[in-house]
Amino acid sequence: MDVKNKISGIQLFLILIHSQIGVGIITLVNEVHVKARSDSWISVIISGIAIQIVIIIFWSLVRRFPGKNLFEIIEIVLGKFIGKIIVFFYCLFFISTGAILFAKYTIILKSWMLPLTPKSILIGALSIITVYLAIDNLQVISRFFILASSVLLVFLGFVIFSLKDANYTYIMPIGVHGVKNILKGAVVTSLSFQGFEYALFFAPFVKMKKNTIIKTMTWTNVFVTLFYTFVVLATQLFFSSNELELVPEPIFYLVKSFSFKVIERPDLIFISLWLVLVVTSSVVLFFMTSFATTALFNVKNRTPFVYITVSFSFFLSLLLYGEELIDRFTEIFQMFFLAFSISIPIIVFCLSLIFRKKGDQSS
Amino acid sequence: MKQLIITICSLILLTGCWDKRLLKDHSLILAIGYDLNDDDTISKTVSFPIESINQSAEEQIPTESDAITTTGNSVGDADIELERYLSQNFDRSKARVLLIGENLAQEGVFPALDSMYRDPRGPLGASVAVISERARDGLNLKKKQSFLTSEFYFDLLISSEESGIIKRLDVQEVCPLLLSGTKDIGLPHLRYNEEDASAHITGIALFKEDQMTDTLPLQNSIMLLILMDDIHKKLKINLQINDEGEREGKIKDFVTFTIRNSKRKFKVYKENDEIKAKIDMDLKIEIEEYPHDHLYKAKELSDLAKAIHKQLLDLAEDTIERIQKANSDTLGIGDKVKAHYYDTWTEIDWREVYPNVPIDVNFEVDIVQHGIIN
Repeated sequence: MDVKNKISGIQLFLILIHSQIGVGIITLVNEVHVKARSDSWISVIISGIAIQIVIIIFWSLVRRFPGKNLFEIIEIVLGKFIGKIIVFFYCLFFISTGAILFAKYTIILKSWMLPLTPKSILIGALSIITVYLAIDNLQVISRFFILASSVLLVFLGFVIFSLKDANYTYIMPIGVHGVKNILKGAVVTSLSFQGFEYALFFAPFVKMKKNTIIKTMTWTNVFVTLFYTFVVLATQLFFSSNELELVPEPIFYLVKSFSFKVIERPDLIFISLWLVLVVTSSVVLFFMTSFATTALFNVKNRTPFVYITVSFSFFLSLLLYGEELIDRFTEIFQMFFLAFSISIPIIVFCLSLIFRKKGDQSS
Repeated sequence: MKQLIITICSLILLTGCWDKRLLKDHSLILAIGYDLNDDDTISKTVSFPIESINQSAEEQIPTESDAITTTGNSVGDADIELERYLSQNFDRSKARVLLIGENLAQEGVFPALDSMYRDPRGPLGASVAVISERARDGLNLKKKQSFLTSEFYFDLLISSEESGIIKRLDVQEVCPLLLSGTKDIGLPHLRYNEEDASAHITGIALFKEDQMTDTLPLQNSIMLLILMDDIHKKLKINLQINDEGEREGKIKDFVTFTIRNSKRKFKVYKENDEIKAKIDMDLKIEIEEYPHDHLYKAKELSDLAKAIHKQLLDLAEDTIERIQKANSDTLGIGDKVKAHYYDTWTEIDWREVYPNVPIDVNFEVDIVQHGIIN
């Protein structure tokens, strides 16, 4: 990997935000609501706080091994052989994450916008854009993300506009559904935060002082948590609890119900904007996937692996069809997420403490 | 060479389109009506513009409405049936008005609306109204003041909303209220006149969940909107303030006024384990018509304010009695009970309790203007 193309703190911030906010945000509200009902927004905040604790542990890990990414750290701590096996599983994890992303994107797009267009075309279009960007280095990607960030503002604008019909009684009384359900909701929400762990891999590419990385990661987390909380809260204020159960993609529904003077269906514009967010998270994801595969095979050239991993996810996602199947797959996948994005880095950190392993301070 | 390949590729990729919907293949349905028949089947009436025959070739503007009615076991079935009658595919995404026949409204409107919520192109912005007796008749109007039936209804609803008689709700706004169980809807109620095939607004149709239970006459509808704090600037109220016959001539017994400014305090509280509601309205009014005149005397002015106050109070009490009798919680008292007294809310059956909740209304009337004469 070309280390000379380092990114700045703000660029890392944008990359992390865009990798986290993607397909999930559309279905997030409904998924949390099934568990936590009118207290969903509390679940989101709790989830954000939990992720912050994980981020602090991650930072301690990165600080012990300066200039190293997670894969290198794993190999140092666990040895070459076990390290390689874990990296291999990481590759599989990323590829299946990509497949789920593709499948969710297709199913939403097919039910909202393009019911007759074949699946393969929709996934193919996304794959081509993803490959086009993911073969470039982080700096190019983050420059595109600066442009793409304007979408987040428009996104927020739409959501703020919906507050004109807000009804505060829909979220009252607060905390009535019990701690257990709120925590269950928080676990579901945590899946939408997937992407924060990429900081473990990008840390060596950031040209900033070691201690400021934690600041960037924290700001990212604060931003994403607030963004999610706001979106969930606004949606909850717009739809009554019983209606929210019926609407799997409440944010689209919310935008669809506005009808402006000139634009009859603002949801189509909104979906097009959302596609940009899907592209950005898919780009980071496949950057990571190809990065993991290069670590696995000890090669320098990342480009062919981008093609290979994207096509793997492409074919895998073609097999995933039907909302039921995707939901079931996602539920199983949630465990893998907890394992790969949270548990393994933490375990590695604990082991590095036990075995007193440290990175080379001079590098 | 590379550019040529890219050009050819994008030509192939960009032109291909599965999800195109050409206007020439579709009839735009602008108004939809649902009815429930005696044999429990659903009738769906659609009104769409047609091009009239006697016009020049340059002006191909649709100037007439036509209506087709089909019948099926459900709305979806009637839709399928409709395809057999229409020469083009029908496209309801531009519908502006949705009329519901009174029979269906009494039975429950939600099942009829289901397909609209499910369809990504469903017309969520269409205004919903109840019409008696049948939506089918309503969409076959003779006297419609406008070329298109849909335009007539849409404009009628808008102008009535502006004059404060009704509150317009669209398909999407209806949904959360229907499902909430804590607040009910009040839809505009229309009446079809058989003699001259015309239609007019009669007031508000009260709903208990998704079933229509009663209708409010005009005066009560206005009062309901005042109590809901949904007061429109152009709202005019005419009240009879004197029926003792003290003053000569009946015309002098009436006063017309508008509400310039209003403030509502709406409180739901619990007292001795009983839920109570209290509405305080502070109204600043302007006299628009008062043939009796003599408003330069301070006493006359305060007497008039008192008389208006009394009439408003009577009207409000009558209105509340009606909505409680209809078991229609249009004011959203249930909303507040659920939000503030959740323990009580889970214990009681709101539909049982609501009709007997004491609702206390108070008015504060202030005449701030009386036109350019006294």
